[in-house]
Amino acid sequence: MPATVVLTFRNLVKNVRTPMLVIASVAQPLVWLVMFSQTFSRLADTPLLRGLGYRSYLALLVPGMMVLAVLFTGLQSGLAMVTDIDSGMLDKLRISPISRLSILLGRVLADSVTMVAQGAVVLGVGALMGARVETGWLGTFGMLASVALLGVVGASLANLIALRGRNAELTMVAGIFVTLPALFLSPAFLPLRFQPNWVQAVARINPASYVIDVGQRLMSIGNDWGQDVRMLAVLAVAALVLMPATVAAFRAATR
Amino acid sequence: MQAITARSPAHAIEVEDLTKVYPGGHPALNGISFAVDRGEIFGFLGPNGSGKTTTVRILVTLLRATSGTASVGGFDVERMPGRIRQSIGYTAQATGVDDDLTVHEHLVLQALLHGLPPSREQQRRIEEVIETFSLSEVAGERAGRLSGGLRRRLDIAQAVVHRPPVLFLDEPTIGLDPQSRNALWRHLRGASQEGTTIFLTTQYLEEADRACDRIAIIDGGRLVKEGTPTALKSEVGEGRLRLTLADSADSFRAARALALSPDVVSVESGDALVVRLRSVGAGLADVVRVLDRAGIPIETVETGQPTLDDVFLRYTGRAPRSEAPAGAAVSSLFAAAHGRRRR
Repeated sequence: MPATVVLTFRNLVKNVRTPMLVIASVAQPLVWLVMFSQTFSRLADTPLLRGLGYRSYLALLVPGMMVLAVLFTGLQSGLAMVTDIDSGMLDKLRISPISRLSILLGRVLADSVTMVAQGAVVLGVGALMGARVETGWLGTFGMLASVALLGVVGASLANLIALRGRNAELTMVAGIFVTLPALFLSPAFLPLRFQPNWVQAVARINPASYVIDVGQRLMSIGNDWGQDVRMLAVLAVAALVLMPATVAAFRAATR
Repeated sequence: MQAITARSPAHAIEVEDLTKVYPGGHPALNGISFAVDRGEIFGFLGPNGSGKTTTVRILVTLLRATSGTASVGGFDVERMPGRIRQSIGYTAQATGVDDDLTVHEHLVLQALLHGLPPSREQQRRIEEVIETFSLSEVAGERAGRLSGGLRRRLDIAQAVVHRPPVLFLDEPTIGLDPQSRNALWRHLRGASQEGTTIFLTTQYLEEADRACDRIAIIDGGRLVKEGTPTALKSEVGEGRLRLTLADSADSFRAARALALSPDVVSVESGDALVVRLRSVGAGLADVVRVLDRAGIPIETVETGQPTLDDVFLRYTGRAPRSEAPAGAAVSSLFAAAHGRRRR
């Protein structure tokens, strides 16, 4: 049995065993989803918003909350790496005759599965509250795939910090420091055109912003291939910058 | 530089002039050399910080040496770490246990990672180690709920489930109760008889004495002595007496009188007098005579072979340091050695 499969399975079993971790990272986005959609509904559910193509403020919120869930899970991926280092599990894996990369791949694959599941939960709750994906199954698939891709990029960053710092608190603080601005400097809560110019400028280099924008289009406005390609390009650039650094850090830690 | 002999190397482990300097300049190993034969139980004995763990971590390919060469199963640690990983088992001092997985799952995971596919054979081996280390009652339990001793046993079970030809155990008995220690030693004996090479580190001299075929004493990153427990002990002196006097105020006078006797190698006075003799036979009578003549009444006499305590003391100049000794596993002599040091 390939080591990558074995380790993916091990990491998923861990998630199932401590469901609180998975639930916690999806609970917060759900709470926000309910809270924001209720408190801001009168202010935000306006003809102006609908004029931009959004079905409702709730529909606008859903993609951002999916992104929040996967970014939290990415952060936990880094924390799990620190735990494996501290508990001696990583050493156990390192002395096994398996490829070093399978240790990292096993983590990324397990993270992706978890992220898709969390994205689906947020979408499901959104649907229960009345926000359907207008572009159908294909659009749903596109949303889940794109948030998982972003989540993996986030996990890569968290693992990079975890491997270099070997410190859970540091990983946590750095993760939150990145996650919340990534969310707020995007159309997650408000269409970008209602936001100041500098936010729009920052959002142009924020991968999360592209994923949220594409999600919002798939959710209500309608697909835009041009924007899809731009999102993929930005994610690819982010991955190309981060992943080699993470792999290098992992190689340094595991030789 | 030695040639790589991959097929049937003379030794299971060969270490040549190994040094390790940690980043920051702290030297952990100052050029150690030794060899371990196939099927041998080799004990690496030394106080905390002497370089035991550093040596093990270099041998199991977790750490890179600064200079020198080391090979396991004929494979060089620097050039062929992948081949070494195919033939080793390892338990670290910090147990490599995942709180979220059950005992049984740990063993399956290790078996899979070490290339033992799901099969009857895999099942059989897992059941075997569960039996050996008395884990059957907790086999379905998550590791996070296990006591320290059980985690330790699980960790050792993980290291042996794939039956590695070379086994590295870094202080395997810390935190084990006497019963588990005995089970461990029985298992290691059996494995060694089947050809498994076992490299272990310990601070417990008594343990190394009973369990190891050969011992190396390491101190300050240097190998100070190597040999069989018997040979090392006989170098220190053949016999050893432990005397308690009726009046402990006499002990200094007694020590002085005894030091003059030709059969006596050394005398230490403390809670009791520890006298090392060239031979117990002639020496015992001599000691009793000397003290009798000096008018010093003896309360008890114990005779015994010298222990590795004595060896350690002799070659490193001090008693082995240790954490709080775990009850019955520590000999009274060990405790006596500590008592002496405190004075």
